[in-house]
Amino acid sequence: MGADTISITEDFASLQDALNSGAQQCILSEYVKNPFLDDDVHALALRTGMVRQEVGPVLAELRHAGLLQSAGRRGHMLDVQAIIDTSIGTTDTPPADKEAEEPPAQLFAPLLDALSCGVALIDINTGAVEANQAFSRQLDLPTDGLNAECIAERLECDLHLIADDQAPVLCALENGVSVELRSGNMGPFSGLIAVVNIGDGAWEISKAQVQIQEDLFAQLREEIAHPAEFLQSFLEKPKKSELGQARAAIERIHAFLALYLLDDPSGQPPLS
Amino acid sequence: MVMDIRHLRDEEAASDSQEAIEAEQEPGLVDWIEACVDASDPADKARFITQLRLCVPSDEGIALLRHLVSSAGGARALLAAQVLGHHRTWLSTAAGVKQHLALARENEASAVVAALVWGLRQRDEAAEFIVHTDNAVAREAALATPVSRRTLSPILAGLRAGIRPEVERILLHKLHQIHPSLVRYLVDLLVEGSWGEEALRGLFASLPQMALFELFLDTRHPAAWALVDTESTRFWQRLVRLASDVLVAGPGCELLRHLLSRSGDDEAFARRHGSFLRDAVRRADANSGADLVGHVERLTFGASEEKVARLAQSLVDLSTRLDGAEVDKVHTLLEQWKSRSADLKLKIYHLEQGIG
Repeated sequence: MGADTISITEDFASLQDALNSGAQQCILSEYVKNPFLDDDVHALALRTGMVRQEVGPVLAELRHAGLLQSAGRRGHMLDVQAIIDTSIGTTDTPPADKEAEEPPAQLFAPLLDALSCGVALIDINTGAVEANQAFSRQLDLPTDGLNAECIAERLECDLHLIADDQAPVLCALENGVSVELRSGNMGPFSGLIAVVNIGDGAWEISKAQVQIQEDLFAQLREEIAHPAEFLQSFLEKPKKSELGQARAAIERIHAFLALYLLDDPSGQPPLS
Repeated sequence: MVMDIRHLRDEEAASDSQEAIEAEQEPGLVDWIEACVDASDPADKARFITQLRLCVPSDEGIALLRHLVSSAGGARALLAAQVLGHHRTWLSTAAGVKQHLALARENEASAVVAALVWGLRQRDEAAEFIVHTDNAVAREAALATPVSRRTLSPILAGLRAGIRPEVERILLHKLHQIHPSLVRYLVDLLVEGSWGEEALRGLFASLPQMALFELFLDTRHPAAWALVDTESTRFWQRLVRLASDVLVAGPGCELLRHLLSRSGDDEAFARRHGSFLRDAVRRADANSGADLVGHVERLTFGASEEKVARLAQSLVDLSTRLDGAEVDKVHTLLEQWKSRSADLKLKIYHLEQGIG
């Protein structure tokens, strides 16, 4: 753009100097050129020529650094407060730094502790987490020092991407426990809400059902499919020598059907 | 009794004039823009930008912003254009859009025009600036233009005219996500101008492959315009050849799965597209190999010998693109098929030896 653009935003360009990666600078430069830009991940990827999957993490880093903020509807915009803070910071310690040194206030502790299921409130921008005991216990996470990074590692997912996408996501763990993550606002809190669902043994039940189904399929193959295949080939090219085998095949099929599918002559359902 | 209220009236009048003075003194849009441009401290600029974001311009405010864009020039005009793009209440009326377009057409500062075009994002009207001589404006127009029946013609005109690589990249990326139902309309528009080989190749490489295949290769009925005269027929044939080249050069997993499914189910289809399928499979992306082998395995589960024989050729071709566990899986599958009958065994053996 021309000289006009520089006259408005050249002061903001100093923000980019603090950034290490070229990708971060590339994205931030678009916001510096137009401080009203509110592109989402997809539009930014198109604008910068970067791969969409790369843009999400870079945006998350820029948000974490306080340079971008949510613009609603999945969009991001320049966080001009960062510029104000940077400017004030040259003469005075920014209040945000002081706050960062102190542990975050546990505003929702009474509510979270009253819940029987594990719930955590994750602030994506700061990484701070407020969770109840049940959450740490059900996910085998430490109660002290619990942060967004620990949770992301445990759930093997990118919390920033989930927050950007807005849509709720269900992360299933190996022991049948699942965690639903969704963006939400509650009073002063704005971030991701994680709710643990231990499934009431549903995982064990479904595992048992799968085993039963597998056994049944194996039996079906053995008692129905193979004899039927033999019968088909026999009917195509009947041989006297195979007549006995064909009869045996029919008997096997009949026996299976009688056991599982046909009514018992006594009137009792065979599987009851 | 009559009450003397003259002094009350005087007080009322005095308070009204005071309010009027205060209202006049209350800073507005233009003041914030002026202050933002004049401010030397970045923190002050940032505060004014916050104010400009938060305010809700009235009709008068929008008119003032337009006036600034057209008359102020420089940084003021640019900032006013950006504020207009941020607060887009003017989009709700046709007159508002018309005035915005007029501003963009008349302005001579490219940065301001780019900001005004940004204000037209996701509007068909942005498409007219794709062929703008200034790169920043054309880029912003390409980013702002949605792909629709109305914008396809200007998009194609831009691609045909040879726009800058970055603008071309943006437009081709957008065309990649075009709805398949629009592809035939797009192809009908191609006949409107003369296209270079490379431009057409780039365009076809960006379009949805399934739609291209169905339109050019899996149809017996060309577009109506292709039958008008010899030249049109020749152009259609050129498009068919190009589409075939582009699809074979980089077949996607979705297209290959479709080809394999149809070839398995329909002998006539398999005969018609046999050589195309063979060429496409031989250029399949190795990363999609496992997916395709799994697909063939599912297709042949309990299938007839004829279907298995038809798909065996593809599986043998596919195995040349794979390595490691996937090749083992192919061999296991082929061995399973061989055990089904002597005929099939011989046929697969011939395919493996390259004499099928």
